[in-house]
Amino acid sequence: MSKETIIRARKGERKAVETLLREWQPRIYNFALKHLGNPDDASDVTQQVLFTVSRKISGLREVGAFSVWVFSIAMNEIRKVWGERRREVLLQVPPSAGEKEGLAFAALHLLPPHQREIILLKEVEGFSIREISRILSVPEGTVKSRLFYALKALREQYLRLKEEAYGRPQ
Amino acid sequence: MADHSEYKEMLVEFVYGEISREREGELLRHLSACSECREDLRQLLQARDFASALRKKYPSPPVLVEEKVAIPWAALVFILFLLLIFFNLPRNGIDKEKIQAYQPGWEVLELKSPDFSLVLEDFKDYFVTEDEKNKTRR
Repeated sequence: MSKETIIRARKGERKAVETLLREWQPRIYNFALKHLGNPDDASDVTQQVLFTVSRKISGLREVGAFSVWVFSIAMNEIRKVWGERRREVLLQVPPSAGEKEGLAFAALHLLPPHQREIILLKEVEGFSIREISRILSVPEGTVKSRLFYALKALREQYLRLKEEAYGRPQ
Repeated sequence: MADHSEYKEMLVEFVYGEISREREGELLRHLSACSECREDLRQLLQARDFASALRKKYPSPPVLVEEKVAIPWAALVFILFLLLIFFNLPRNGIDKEKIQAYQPGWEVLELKSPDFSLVLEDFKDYFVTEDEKNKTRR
């Protein structure tokens, strides 16, 4: 994704907006899918995020912060779904998931949303601690503290699920 | 010297390569003396290994973004289409002035369901002259 495309999209060039949406669709869908664990919700969130991006890109101030901006929108949309859904979660593990992938996916979904999102933003999306603090609107210290406990919780759940599935390692 | 919660933050910076040289030196000195933090470091690295399995990408279904984005355009085209039909109506439908100019003395009767594709000549049966009206009245 080039900065030039973002600049042209910000000016209202329809082709550039379409290019951006096409490029970003898989990334947002994957993030939403892994966060919500449900393809239907992920599709709805993706559609809403891309629609918001297409409508509000003219107001984007920093071109360099485009990805942070898009993920802030995505987080808002995901939280809306969480708000509506409350505690009823229908987790769908990808059918092609291997052992490690399936365990990691299930372990991730045993974590509370604030731990899940920080793991996805860091481990999957590769944002820096500073960028995550902007996406989530929390101080950098909070990001680091959440990451510390989220990683430890993920490890714990992963090992517990593995033990349940395969028994305690000899 | 930092407290333990500060070292936890440093560990996170360290495992993601976002620690400054100065803080890294302080953390390494602390790790050499603190088994609890060494265990934390081991667990964080193991967790990162498990989390790496989450990076797999899944195919995304087609999202109807283009349709949503295109709605204003579709609406605009639809409105233009309606306007076009509206302004074209008199030419293909009933135009009183034209009819009266074409056949002075003729009157236009009310039509219940005019077919707009018909040309003016097709409407002749719908019009009667004043004379014919008077005959009917008698």
